Amino acid sequence: MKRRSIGEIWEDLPVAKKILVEMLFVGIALLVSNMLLYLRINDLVDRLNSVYSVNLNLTDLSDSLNEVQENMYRYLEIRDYDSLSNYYRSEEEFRQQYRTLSDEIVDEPVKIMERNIRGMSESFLAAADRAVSAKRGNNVDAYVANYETAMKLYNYIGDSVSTLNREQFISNRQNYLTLQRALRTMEITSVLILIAVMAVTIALLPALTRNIISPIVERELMMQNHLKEAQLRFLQSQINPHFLFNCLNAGVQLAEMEDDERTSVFLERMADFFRYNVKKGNEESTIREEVEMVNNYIYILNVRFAGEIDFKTDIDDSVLDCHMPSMILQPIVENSVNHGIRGQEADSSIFLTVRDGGDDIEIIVRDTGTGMTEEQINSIFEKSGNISESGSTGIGMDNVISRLRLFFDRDDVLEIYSEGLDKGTSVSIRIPKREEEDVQNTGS
Amino acid sequence: MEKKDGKRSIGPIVATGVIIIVLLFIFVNLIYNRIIDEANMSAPGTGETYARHIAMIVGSPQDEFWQDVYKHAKEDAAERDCFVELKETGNSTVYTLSDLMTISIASGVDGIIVENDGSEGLKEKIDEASDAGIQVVTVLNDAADTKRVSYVGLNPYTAGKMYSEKLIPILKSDKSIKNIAVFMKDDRVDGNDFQIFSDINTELMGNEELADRVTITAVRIPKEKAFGTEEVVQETLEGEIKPELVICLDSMTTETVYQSIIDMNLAGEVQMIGYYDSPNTVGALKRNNMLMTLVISTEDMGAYASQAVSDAIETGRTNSYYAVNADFISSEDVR
Repeated sequence: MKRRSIGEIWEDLPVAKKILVEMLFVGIALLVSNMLLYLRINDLVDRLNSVYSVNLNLTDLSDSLNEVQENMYRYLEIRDYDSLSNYYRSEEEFRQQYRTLSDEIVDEPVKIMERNIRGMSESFLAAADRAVSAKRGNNVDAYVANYETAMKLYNYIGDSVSTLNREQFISNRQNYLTLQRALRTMEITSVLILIAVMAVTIALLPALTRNIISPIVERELMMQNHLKEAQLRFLQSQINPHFLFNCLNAGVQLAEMEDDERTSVFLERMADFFRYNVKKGNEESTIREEVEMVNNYIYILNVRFAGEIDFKTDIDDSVLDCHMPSMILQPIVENSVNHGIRGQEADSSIFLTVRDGGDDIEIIVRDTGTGMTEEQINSIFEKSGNISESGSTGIGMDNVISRLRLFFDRDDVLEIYSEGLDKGTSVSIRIPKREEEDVQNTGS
Repeated sequence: MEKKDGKRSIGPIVATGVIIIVLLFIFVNLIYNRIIDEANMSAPGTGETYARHIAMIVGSPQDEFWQDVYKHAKEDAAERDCFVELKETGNSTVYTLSDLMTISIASGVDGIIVENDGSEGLKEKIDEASDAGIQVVTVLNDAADTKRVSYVGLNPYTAGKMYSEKLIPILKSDKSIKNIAVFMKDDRVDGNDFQIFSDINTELMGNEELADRVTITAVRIPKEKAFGTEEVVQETLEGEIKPELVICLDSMTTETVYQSIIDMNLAGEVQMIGYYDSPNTVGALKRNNMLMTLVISTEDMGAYASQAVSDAIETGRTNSYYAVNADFISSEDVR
C-alpha cells in the first residue's frame, strides 16, 4: 500500500478536525513556550536559593567546631563520661562537616582556603584527641601542651572560617545581585516571548484558516458554475424537440404537395435550421447566426402555412458579430407568430430590428398582432423566475428570459411592451456588446 | 506554496511558524547563558588543579617586591605542577610569620617558602615544619642554623660590598654628606640587614678620607608596631642630627622615606638610596630625587625559590644556596 504524505492526510481531514489540529498547534506552541520559560526561571530561582547555602554550611561548620572545643574543654576540666561521649559525638559531626570541604589544590582563593581549613581541622582533631587521651592517662603536661596546640589551631580555624565566609559572602552577594537582575530580565523576556509566540501563531492562523477554507470556496464556485451550465443545457434541451416536430410535419406536407425546387430550398433551410440547433449545443452564438436562424424559420413557416408571413427586418450590420446566447430570437419570433399574428384576419407583420445602442445592442421583435395584457406579461416574467419548472408553457418564452438573465447576469435584459389587446407586442432585448475577442478573454 | 491545483500547502506555513518559535527560543537561551556567564555560575571552578601545595610566608606580602617574587614563583611552580599560596598576614587577626608557619604546617602543605624576618619562634617553626616532612626554603633573609633545605637571595657580604663600592665615590665627591642613616627592619646581628650595614660601616671606616668625616647610623624600624615605619622615618629626618643620606633596605621603607622627604620638603637636602624598582621609586629616580636603588631580580628569586622547594619535595635534595642577581640603577638607567 502506498504511504500517504502528511499533506495528503491533511487534505483528507474533515474541516472540524483541521480546525482542531490548528487549535492544538497554537496550544502546543504556547504550552511548550511556557514550559521552557518556566524551566529556565525555575533554574534561576534554584540558583538564587543555593547562593547562600555555602555560607550556611560554613556557619554550621563553625558551630560544630565550637561544640568540639567546648566538649574537649569540659572533659579536660571535669573529666566525666558525659563530656567524653559528647566530645566523641561532636568530633564525628565536625569530621563529617569539614570533609565536605575541597581537598584539591586549585588556583582559586576559596578552594585553597577550604583545603587549609580542612587540613587545620584534621590537625586540630589530632591535637584534641591527644589532649583527651593524655587526660585519660593522667599525663598533665601532655594534655596541657596538646590543649594549647589545639586551642591555637581552633582560633586559626575560626579565623579562616570567618575569612572564607566573608569571601564567599562577598562573591555570593555579587552573584545574588546578578541573578536577581537576571531573574527580572528573564521575567520580562518571558512575557515578550509569550507575546511573540502569540503574535506568530495568530499571524499564522489566517494562513492556516485560508488553507482550510479556500478548497471549500473553490468547490462552491465550481458547483455554481456547473449548476448554471446544467440549467442552460436543460433549457436548451427543452427547445429542440419542441420545434423539431413541427418542422418535420411541414417538410412532410411540402413533400406531399409538390416535389420541386422549392422543396429542395425548403429542405435546405430545414437542414440549416437543425444543423444550427445541433451545432449550437453550447450556449454561445452571434447575432448574425441568430438572425439567419430567424430568417430560416420564417421561410419554413411561410412554406408551412402557405402564406407569406409579413416579416420585415432592420439590421445594423456593424453589430452582427456580437455575441449572445443561441436560440433566443427564434423562440421570440415563434411566439410572435403563434400568439401574435396567426389567425389574424387583418394584415399582420413582424418586425425584427437590430441596432447599435451605444454600450448596448438593442434587438426588437415587434408584431402587430393580438397584443398582451399587463397580467399576461407579468405572468411570463414570473414563470421565468422559476427555471426549475420544466417548460410546459410551450413556446419557451420563460426559458429565453432565464437564459438571457443567467448569461448576462442582468434582470432587465429583456422587456415586453404591449399597449393592450389587438395593439401588438414588442419584445426588446438589450445586450452588452461582446465581440469575439472579449468572449475569448472572458471565457479563458 | 502554491500547488498545481491552486491549493496552498500546509507544510511551509507550519514550518515557518515552528522555525520562528525555535529561533525565539535560541535567542532566549543565548540571553540566559549570557546572564549565567555574567554571574560566573555556570562553571563552579575555573582554576587549574595542582599536585603540590606550597605556602609562601613573607613579612610584607602586599609589598610590590614580594608581589613580584610571588608572581614569578607561582609561574615557575605551575610548570612543576605545584601551586604557591601567598599567605596573608591576616585580616581580623594580625598573624606573625610563626603563626603563618603553624597554620601552614597544620594545613598540611608540601613545602614552605619563608622570609626569615628574625621574628620570635620562626626558626623553631622552620624546624617543626621540617620535622613534619615539609620542605622549607628561606628567601631574602636566611636562617642558616635551621633545618631549611635551601636559601635563595643575596649574599649579605656581597651586598655590603656592592653598597660600599657605590657609596664611596659619592661620598668623596659630595662633601656635604656627613651623616648617613640606614633603615633596617631586621636588626639581628646575624641578619642580612645588619650584615650589609656592618660591611658598609667597615668599608667607610677603613677609608681614611671618609672615616672622620662621615658617620653611619643604623635606625631600627619596629616590626611589632603597626605603621611604625613612617613615625621612625619622620623622627629621624627631623632629629637633631639630620642625615644627609638615607639608605633603605626594603621597598616599603623606600616608599615611606621618599614620601616623607617630599612631604617635609627635604628634596635636595636629603638624598636617598632605595631598594627595588617599584613605579614610585622609578619615578623618584627620573625626577632626580633618589640617587639610586638596589634592584634584586624578583624573577630569579621567585623561580629559584620555587625550583628549590619543588626539587626538595620531589627528590629530598636541592642546592643549599641560590644566588639571585642584583644591581643598582640610577636616574640615568631609567631615562
